[in-house]
Amino acid sequence: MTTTEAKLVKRPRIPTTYIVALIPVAAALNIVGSTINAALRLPTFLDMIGTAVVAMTLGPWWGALAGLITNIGIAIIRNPVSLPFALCNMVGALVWGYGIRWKMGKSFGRLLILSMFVGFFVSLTAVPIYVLVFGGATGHFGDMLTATFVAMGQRLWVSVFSSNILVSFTDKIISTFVALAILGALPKELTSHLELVEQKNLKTVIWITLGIVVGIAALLFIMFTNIAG
Amino acid sequence: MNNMQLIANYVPGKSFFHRLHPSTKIIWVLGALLTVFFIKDPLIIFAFLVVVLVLIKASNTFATYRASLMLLLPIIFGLIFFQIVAPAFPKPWTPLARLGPFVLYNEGVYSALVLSLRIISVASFALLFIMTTYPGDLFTTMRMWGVPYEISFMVTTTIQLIPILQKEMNIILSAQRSRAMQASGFSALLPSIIPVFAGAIERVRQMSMTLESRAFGSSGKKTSIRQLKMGTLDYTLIILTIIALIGIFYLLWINQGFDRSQQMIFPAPAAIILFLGSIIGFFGILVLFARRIKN
Repeated sequence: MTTTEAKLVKRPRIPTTYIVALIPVAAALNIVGSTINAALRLPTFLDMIGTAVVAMTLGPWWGALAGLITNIGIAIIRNPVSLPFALCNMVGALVWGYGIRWKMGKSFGRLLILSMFVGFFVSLTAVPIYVLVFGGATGHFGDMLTATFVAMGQRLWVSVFSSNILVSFTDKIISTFVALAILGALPKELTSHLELVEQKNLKTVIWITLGIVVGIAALLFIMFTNIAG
Repeated sequence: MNNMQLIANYVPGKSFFHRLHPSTKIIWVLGALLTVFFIKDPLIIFAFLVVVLVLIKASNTFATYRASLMLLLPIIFGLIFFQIVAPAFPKPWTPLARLGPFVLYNEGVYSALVLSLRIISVASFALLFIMTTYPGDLFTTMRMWGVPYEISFMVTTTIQLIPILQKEMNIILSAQRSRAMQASGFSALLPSIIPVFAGAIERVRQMSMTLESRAFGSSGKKTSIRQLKMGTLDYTLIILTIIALIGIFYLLWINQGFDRSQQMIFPAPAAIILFLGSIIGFFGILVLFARRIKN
């Protein structure tokens, strides 16, 4: 779709009942996404794909609502401790939603940058919660990375942020492109107003993600050894 | 598959806690949350935890509680590990022992105890609230407090959809495996996640039509099959809670949150045992979870 054509396509009026039905499905899919993640034994979370889909199609604030409802749902069926993380899910939705609105989804490179922004802002909200409430622990394998950074003489804040941003980048880049693939499967009336890049092969995305994350990890290790030395 | 985690935590019963109005319980949970987060004495928090455990036992919800608390364990072990080596206290820290690259600090053991007891006790109290409150009543209360009907509808629908979508996901995973899809790794991600979403979107369309045909969002007074009423007991308890909270916060303010990190000195072997125990616990639990998912 070219830009001139895109301008002609206005944002569709989606009926309220459709929104009211789509948000719970997205929230439930967020929760099921994390189960798929566990079933396929992936090192990510994948608990924000539904949020991403809603934020991209309906807009940032509807996405934030989907994120909030996801965490209320988890609090009721599993454990209320996850409630503070509603904030991360909402921040992610806002970045995704406004990013797509500000034409960050037009090319592959822009979408990649947008997903890294999402990862960065989600980490920025998650790390204070992890450090102040959970003493730096996340309960995931990422904790081992944090422990390594602490052992290298870094402060807890820095260590948690460093390991969290690596996990976050991986998770959000993959989530964004999975969401892109899902948008391709959605009815056209929901996605016609969006300026989105063609779907990419996920394998390419995963290799690029791996490259970025390994690069940042290497950079962090070099930085920390130099500071410690 | 671990369907156990996905069943809502409500446990039917007729205990004292079951009979209270959700508003009363919400105020208690918020009060407990605020109080516990300002107390810095592990013994007081531990005493509070014991009280909560007695209440849980009394309301016959202990089995569900135990299963739900298991999910918290990895984060608790991680927390103990990190706090012992990097306490949430201003320096200088008092070193107790050294293990490889890690120095174990006295303040660390103290803050590990405070933070972990804090999380466990708040989580336990909140779980007690969720286990003894019928989800529908929670949403009725939300509406009573002025939360729009649409929001409570969305939360209810989410909770009802999770087991349905979970089942659908299992069917799709088995179907794809029978077509020789790899059972793990990123290459399996799109073939398993897209059918679940596509199927769910079809559901959205149907649900939207159903809602439309039943005049969702029309104005007028909504009635509910479950009636909830605030009793005299609820009003009395809320007033007493507010008075108690004011008293507690006055005490906390005078005593600086009962900070005893300078008086409590832990023996070095205790710190080492706690530290090593947290590492073993962390990996043990993760292996246990991984095995459970496999089965």
